[in-house]
Amino acid sequence: MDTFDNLANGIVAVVTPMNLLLLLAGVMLGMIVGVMPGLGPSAGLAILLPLTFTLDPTGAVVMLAAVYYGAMYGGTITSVLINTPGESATVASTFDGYPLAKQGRAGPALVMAAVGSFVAGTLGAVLISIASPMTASLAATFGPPELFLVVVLGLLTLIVIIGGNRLLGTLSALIGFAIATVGIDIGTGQQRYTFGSVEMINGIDFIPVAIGLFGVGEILHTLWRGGHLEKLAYFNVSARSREFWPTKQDFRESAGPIARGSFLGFFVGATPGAGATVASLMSYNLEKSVSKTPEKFGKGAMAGLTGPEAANNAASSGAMVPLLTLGIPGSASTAVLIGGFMMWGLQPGPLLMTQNPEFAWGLIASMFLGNIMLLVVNVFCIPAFASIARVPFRVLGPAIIVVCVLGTFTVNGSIVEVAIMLACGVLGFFMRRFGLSPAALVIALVLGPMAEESLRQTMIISGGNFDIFLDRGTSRVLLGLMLLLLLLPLALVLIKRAAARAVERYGAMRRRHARKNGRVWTPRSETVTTQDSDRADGSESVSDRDPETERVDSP
Amino acid sequence: MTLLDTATPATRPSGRVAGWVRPKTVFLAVVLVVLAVYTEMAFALDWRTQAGRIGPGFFPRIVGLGGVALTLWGLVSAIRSPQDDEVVALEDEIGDADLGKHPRLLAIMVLASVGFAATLISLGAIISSGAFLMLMLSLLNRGRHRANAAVAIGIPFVMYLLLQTLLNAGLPEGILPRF
Repeated sequence: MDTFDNLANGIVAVVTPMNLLLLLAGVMLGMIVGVMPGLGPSAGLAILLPLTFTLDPTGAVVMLAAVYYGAMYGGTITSVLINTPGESATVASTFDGYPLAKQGRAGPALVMAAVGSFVAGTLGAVLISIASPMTASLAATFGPPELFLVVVLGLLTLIVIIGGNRLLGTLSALIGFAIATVGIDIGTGQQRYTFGSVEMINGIDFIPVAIGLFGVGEILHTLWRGGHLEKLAYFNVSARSREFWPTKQDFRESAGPIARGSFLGFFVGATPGAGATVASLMSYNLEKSVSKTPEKFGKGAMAGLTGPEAANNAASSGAMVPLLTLGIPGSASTAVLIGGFMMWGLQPGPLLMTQNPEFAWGLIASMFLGNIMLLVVNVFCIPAFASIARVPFRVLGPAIIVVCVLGTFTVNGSIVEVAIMLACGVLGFFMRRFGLSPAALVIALVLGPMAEESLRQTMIISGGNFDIFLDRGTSRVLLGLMLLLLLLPLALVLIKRAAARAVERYGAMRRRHARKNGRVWTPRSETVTTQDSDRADGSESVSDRDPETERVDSP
Repeated sequence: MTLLDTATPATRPSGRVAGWVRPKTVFLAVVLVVLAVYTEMAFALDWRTQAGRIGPGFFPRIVGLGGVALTLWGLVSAIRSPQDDEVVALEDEIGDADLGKHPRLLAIMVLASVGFAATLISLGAIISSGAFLMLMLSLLNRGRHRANAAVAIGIPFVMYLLLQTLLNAGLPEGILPRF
């Protein structure tokens, strides 16, 4: 009952004309950030953070959260229309989204992706409302030793799940921790690594680092690999056309994947370290495995688009749970959000929901309203956002550098921070180039002071004895989880094999069932499909529609 | 070198280059030096305070030693298997057309950004942003002079109006009067 009361209070706190305007501005800006290839939610949040300084904390966080999930929606548009994911979480959307656009079904693909995102985002907000108070009450029993272990656990998860080169992922996190030690030592008041500079006494702010690594670093990398020479072929979408709207068959095909993707995405997203990208790829594989028509995947299966779309949006909601209840960012985007919280004097963690309930519940309530806004904005403004995706990188790149420099300067009016931002931009380029993880660096930078403080408190409690981590029950559980996590890469091979077998068996059973009922998919060009039979009302067959492609970058 | 040369893509190096002179190993060597200096400075800070509590050097020493060890490991791996950095590059570019590599253009962008930051206070936000945009657009978006001029004038003005006039964020006015 408390949950409903709190949520109702949150809605009351958010539903002011100013906050609704900020919410609308946030979702629109997020969509714009999302459709710009190369600018993900983390870069968008970092760049837009300075714009919120003059707002009250609730309004500012409502706007930033709206930018966050707006960007998750927006990334799909470029995935479908130009086969270029707006951010890594929408990579899976290109697998079937672009083939759908090639079949002349860009409109239905984008509308269904928006519907999937809406359902997943709303379901995610419901699950946050349930999970956050429970997690917060559990986290309230944590002492400094547990908090320290949770921080380490979060980073460990990030490094284990990040895949690729774990050695370089760990090195990235250590660089982040090293940057976090610059400034005054909170225990003794002694200066560390300030080199006598007054500007460095308060440490290196995470905003210039985040803007540099995600914003400038991304632009430099795109420029280096010739993004300015790219010729984009895109598909036109028009809301006036009848083919813009999905069919009943699209909804039928997508219901299951959206539901599965929503739950899968939420729980993957709620795991610190695992993010929307992992969730969307897991959802794609799951849908392909359980599908009655797996051969359709990669050739324009609606389930291959809506499942991952739902998963990546649900994951962005799920990532809010560790953020709000433990103060631990599960992804680069939530690391930027947590930095924003701290700037407004809010300390995310177990006490946030009890000490600032109007803020925490206001944020959750804004997610319900924001999702409704996003669905409307998405469906009716897809063509407008699609046109933003046509701005070529050769114009966009320098413009984004200007936004990064001016945005960083406005934070503290410091040219030193601008220099730090540019240095981090160059570092971000090399990190991307050589397989290091900018996300791990930023998360470690945010968590570094928390880790040091909780370790210091732990040592004060224990009198400098590390046995304290083994004496407490919750600490032992967390240490056990860490051990499991370290063994995970070894166990993963066996788990994957077992899960693949189970999913394959389930998929085979569904296909047998479908064959029994005579519903077997065959390629469009060969024979009548279930979709075509749905068009018995006389509308033209999908295979008759040729996509209108045009070169936008040609001189 | 003319400005035209800057857009010429650098070709991929042909043949095998010794592991220790490849870009990745140079990068890791620089990281190693920085982390070694960091660790050396950490050892100048106290491990414990006089009261027996954790000192200011406790965390930096652990981070520094861990960082140096991992960088050394990474450096040795990079020297022993130089093909790995090509794998990273390829993973990064899956789905993208190979448009060559543009290190000179990248260097110009970095230098222009440094120049932009260096002149931000003296010239002001509008003039320095406009000059930076004009330079970069003349290199990247060749031949479209009117469009480039519109972007180079329009974006600084819009940013100034948004951040300074609307949000009073304190952008430097430089040689133009504040409005």
